[in-house]
Amino acid sequence: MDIEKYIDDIITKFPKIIDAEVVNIKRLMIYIPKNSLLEIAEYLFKNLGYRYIIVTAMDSKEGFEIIYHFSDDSSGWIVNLNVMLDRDKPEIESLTPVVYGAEWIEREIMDLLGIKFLNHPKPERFLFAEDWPEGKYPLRRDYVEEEK
Amino acid sequence: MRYPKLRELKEAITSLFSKPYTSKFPAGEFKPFAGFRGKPIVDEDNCVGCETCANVCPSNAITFIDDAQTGIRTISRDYGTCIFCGECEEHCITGKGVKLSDEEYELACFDRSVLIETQERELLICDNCGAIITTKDHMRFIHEKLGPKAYSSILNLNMLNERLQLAREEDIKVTIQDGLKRKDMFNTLCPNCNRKIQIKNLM
Amino acid sequence: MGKKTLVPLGPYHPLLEEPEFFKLYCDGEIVKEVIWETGYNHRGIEKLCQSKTFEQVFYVVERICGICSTSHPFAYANAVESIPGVEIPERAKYIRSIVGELERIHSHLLWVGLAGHFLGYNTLFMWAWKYREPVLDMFEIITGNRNNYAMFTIGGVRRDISPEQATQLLNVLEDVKVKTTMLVGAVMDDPVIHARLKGVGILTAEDIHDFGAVGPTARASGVDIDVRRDDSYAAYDMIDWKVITAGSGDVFAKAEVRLLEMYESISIIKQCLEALKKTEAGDIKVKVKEIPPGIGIGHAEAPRGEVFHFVKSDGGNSPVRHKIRAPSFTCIPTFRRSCVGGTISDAAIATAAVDPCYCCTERMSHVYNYNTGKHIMSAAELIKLSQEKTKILKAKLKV
Repeated sequence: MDIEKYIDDIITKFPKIIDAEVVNIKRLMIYIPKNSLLEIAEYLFKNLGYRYIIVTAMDSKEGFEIIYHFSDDSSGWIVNLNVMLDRDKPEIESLTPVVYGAEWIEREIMDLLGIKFLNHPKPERFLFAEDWPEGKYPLRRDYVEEEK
Repeated sequence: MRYPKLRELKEAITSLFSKPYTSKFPAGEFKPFAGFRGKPIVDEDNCVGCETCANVCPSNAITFIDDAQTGIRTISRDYGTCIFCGECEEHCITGKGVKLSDEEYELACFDRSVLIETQERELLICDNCGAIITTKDHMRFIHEKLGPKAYSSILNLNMLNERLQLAREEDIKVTIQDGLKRKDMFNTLCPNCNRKIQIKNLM
Repeated sequence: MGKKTLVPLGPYHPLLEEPEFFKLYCDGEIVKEVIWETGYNHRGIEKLCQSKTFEQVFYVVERICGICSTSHPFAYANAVESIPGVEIPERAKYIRSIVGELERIHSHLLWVGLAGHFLGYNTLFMWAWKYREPVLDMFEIITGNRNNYAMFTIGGVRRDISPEQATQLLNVLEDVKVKTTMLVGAVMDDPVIHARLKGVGILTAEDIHDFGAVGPTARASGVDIDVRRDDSYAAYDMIDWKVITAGSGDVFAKAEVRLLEMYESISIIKQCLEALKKTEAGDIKVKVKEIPPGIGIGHAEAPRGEVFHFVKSDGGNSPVRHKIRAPSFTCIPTFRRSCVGGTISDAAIATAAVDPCYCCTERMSHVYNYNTGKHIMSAAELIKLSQEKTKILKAKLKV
């Protein structure tokens, strides 16, 4: 995979892309705005036939960071889509209509970080028990563990 | 009868006349292979009580409590929490302080408190501020490792004197009063207090 | 949905995020819909890893899965070592590959045994597990424990393989190879197994792509993916081996892929042991002083499929974010496609075909009437149902 040409191509195809950089050997990180997630993900997943791996969400300094990992199995590159969400209003379009397998992980992120996925087919609790209090998200920075 | 059945029949007959692979453990003895990671056994002579193992233990099975009043460090090892990873053995500064036994592995018991082992080591305490420096064994180990260079350390000489009693009480006893002075360096001092004296001296 | 019967298949798995509970909605004997519930066994490992140092995380991730306890450290090592760009010694690479492949052999043997048990072939179950024992003993000799090997560390491995151990391992492998041939023959030549497994739980290549399923599950559907080859790590690019695929996507194909993969594993280990002789003994570790700030993404091919680890470091002692994805997380949702349309007795083997850690799944499966809530069947009875179907087939085929 000629990475420089690849980056040029994808930026010309989607001018909304903020930045693209190689973060490590065979690992490409593409920073995108949140409203263009679906079209870029659809292009990667359906047109290029990349394999969906998983979605990582984390609470970083600037806000909530969501990374969508896709794998190009013919070359071994992992292409990551990085979306930064506002801390006050963590909302993003659900990837599930495009990538069927993303349903579980989006529900898990909903549980652990309290990020809302719009148009999710089944926005229910995934991991937590029914008696887990609302509005407590263990992976957020401000989460304090209760004393037993 | 077709051929495949014969092949399995052969296997069945050999299985019938061979012994079970498993050992009759609680009834009969079982000896693990060499290099098995069993119970970590502390070598009392070589453990210097430096707390390294407590820092690297992933499951926090090794903890220590320093008592400045009595001058004793109590290291407790909870084999109920231990995951037998061997990090303590690998990181042990003396290399011989703790070894995972390949013979002892029967730790199951009804009372968990039986699984906690403790060791006590004498602490070295700063004469001036009362801070805990480290254990005496640890200091001795460091000095031994330094070889002849260790004699440039007054702390080492102090500790040697304590053991060999070369000079008696009145000769060496210098009480620390009205701030740190150069003469106080001949006491047992923590690195912080030592530094203070050095800087005062330089000024 | 009121008239359908609910068959709960679950409730949990001991793997990281796979604790799940399947509700099979059935109409008569045919499964109409599969709904999953999870969260029974969430241990918060990702959060726990953030409180451990980089080196200690190995012992945490090792305990995610009791069966594949090398695959998680493997992926984590790939992720964490990529941040400072550490090149581990060649000998360590070979030893890593040996441990990883030994694990594949024992995991696949375990699967064959359990699949046999589900089908009512208890002799197969006993034999497969018996042949697995020498492999586990080999683990004890090489790493010091039958499980939770504590073999990996940042920058290499913790124990070396001595020439005596290598000879011992070669002998065990020879033995395992003979036994594998017997097992492969027993499975492939049996007309009942053919009748029972062919055409059951079919997953097409599109299903695999939709769910992102990995490992033998994907390879059995003709999707030619294997992390060991695609994004080569450890010693896999230095030796000669091939990826096993099958085309039909049913349970039989999955069994075939797993059985044939064992031969590949044996051949990989033999080549690694040969290569070990050429490297200097004892050179198994490089010292890594610190992990600089950065992102590390690592994956490894576990017996069940790709294990994915994402590590973010801020230059401190412990990771600030550690994301773990076990293969079953994407493989288990495929039940939605593989079970629907089949019978309940086929559902047991179709779910088993993915090789989730189902030791707990089978422990508490109950069948009860959805309307009255009355208990009808237990786990043992569900397995019995599956076994009875085999018996009927056997009678039909007159074998």
